[in-house]
Amino acid sequence: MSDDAGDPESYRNHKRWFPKHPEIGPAGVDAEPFYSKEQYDLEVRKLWPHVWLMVGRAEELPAVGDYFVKQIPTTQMAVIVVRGRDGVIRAFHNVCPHRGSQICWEAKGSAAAFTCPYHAFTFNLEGKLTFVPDEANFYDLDKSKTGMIPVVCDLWEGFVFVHLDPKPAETLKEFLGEVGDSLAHYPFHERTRYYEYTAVIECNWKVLISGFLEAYHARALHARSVNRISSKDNPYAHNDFIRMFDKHRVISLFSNPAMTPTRLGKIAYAHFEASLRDEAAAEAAEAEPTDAEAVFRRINKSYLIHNIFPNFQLNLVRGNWFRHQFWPIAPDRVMWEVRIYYAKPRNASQRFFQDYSRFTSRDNLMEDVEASERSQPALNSGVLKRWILQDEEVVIQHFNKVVHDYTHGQTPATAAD
Amino acid sequence: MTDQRLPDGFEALEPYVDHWALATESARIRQRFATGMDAITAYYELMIERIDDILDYLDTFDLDAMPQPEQRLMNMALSLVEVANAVEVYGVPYSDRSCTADRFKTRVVDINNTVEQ
Repeated sequence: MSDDAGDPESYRNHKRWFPKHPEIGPAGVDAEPFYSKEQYDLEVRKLWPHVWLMVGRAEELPAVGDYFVKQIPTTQMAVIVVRGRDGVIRAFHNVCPHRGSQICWEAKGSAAAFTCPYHAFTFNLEGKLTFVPDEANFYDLDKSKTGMIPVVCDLWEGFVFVHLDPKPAETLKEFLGEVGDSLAHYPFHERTRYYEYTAVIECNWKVLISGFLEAYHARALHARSVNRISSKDNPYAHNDFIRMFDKHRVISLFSNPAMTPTRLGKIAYAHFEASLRDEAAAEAAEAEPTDAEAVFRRINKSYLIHNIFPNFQLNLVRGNWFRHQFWPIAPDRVMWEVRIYYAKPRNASQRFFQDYSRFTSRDNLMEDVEASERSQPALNSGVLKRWILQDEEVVIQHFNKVVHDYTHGQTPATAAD
Repeated sequence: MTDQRLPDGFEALEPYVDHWALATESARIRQRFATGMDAITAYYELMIERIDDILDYLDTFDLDAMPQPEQRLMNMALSLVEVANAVEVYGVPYSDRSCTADRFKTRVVDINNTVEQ
């Protein structure tokens, strides 16, 4: 299913979306999945083992033997992701087949082989068991059947995904569908610097994600900075458009055409633009005066949110990209990791600009955290039975419905259970 | 002889080194939250007059290998960015709807090389 507003002025309208999507039902969702242990347990059992999970970028493993360990706390797992001698990236559970020690005790590194620190079982980079100390003392040990435990692994546009089911119901390409296709060839890999923010947030993962699926809160929660995504004609930050697919969602945030840079913004943009020209220009040409406002408008005209089920949000913003990941660890607790990507800054002006360009969003995220954490205790009380949703909150309903399809048994993956 | 901690030519900023020449984003956010609006505004006014010259000067150095005085000056420039929204957009040091400054761990990474913790 896909939908496009078409008309660039459609943000002026009300009730655009729910009438177009009768399949997701009338506006509103039950509140119980946002706090109940029963729902959490269902998700651990019926959702997380049956979806593709993004765990890293291929650039993090430039050379043969490079590896990182990604924690998947929701299912109490950790996967080693390693580049093998044939250049292929593979994943394995970080569990020694001898007695379950972690094979890698470091979060990342580079190895010619994996040697478990506990008893020195040794595996090659493709996971095969190659050496067992005091092997003669084992009974019927078949080394060929005692390798590292593989995890299904595949790549999309340089993002490494794993799947905890040894026989996924869909390939990664099938899973990502039209959203995956729409991002083909985006130069994610060119942005090799990231600014990372990690925190444990005291709320249900779906409460936190739901906050990122609507801009309706911006006027109230982000009151002091809302003018970036609203205007006199669009006071409540209605989205440009939304698209809802089988499992994933895309939101195009409205961008205020009348927005102008602040005093420091003009300086930051001017220095940034000048630094790019300095890099690009080989021949002498009289430098044009920098029109910081034009640069600002060019860079700021778009903000595209891709909410990729279940827990990977990929935002293309103002010429760069950033992503969120959410790993539930309790019905009311989630590990949250934000990475904001840029090209590696080459001088002070570029570093200055990179800080300037992300701080408003960062400060907004801190407000989002507070609002989500204020919601959770109230939800935990069980007093509220339903969330009332307005039209611009339709994407929340879609996301939670996809969760429900997994936990209450409609999707192909769980049909096999 | 006084302790000069910044490069020559930036003596006017020496009194602010202790408070604002902070090496990480975490430290700079915390400092913004911990500083009153008057002091934030004073710092903003002082730095914004000079920031063109500061950036032009710092651009002549290797960003990844600055000498200590230049790195302090760089950190002070980044503190200007940190406080700018408070002065230009919010009108207060931090939003009353925000979580506290200590909630996030921050890192700066050039893929495969952590630059700043």
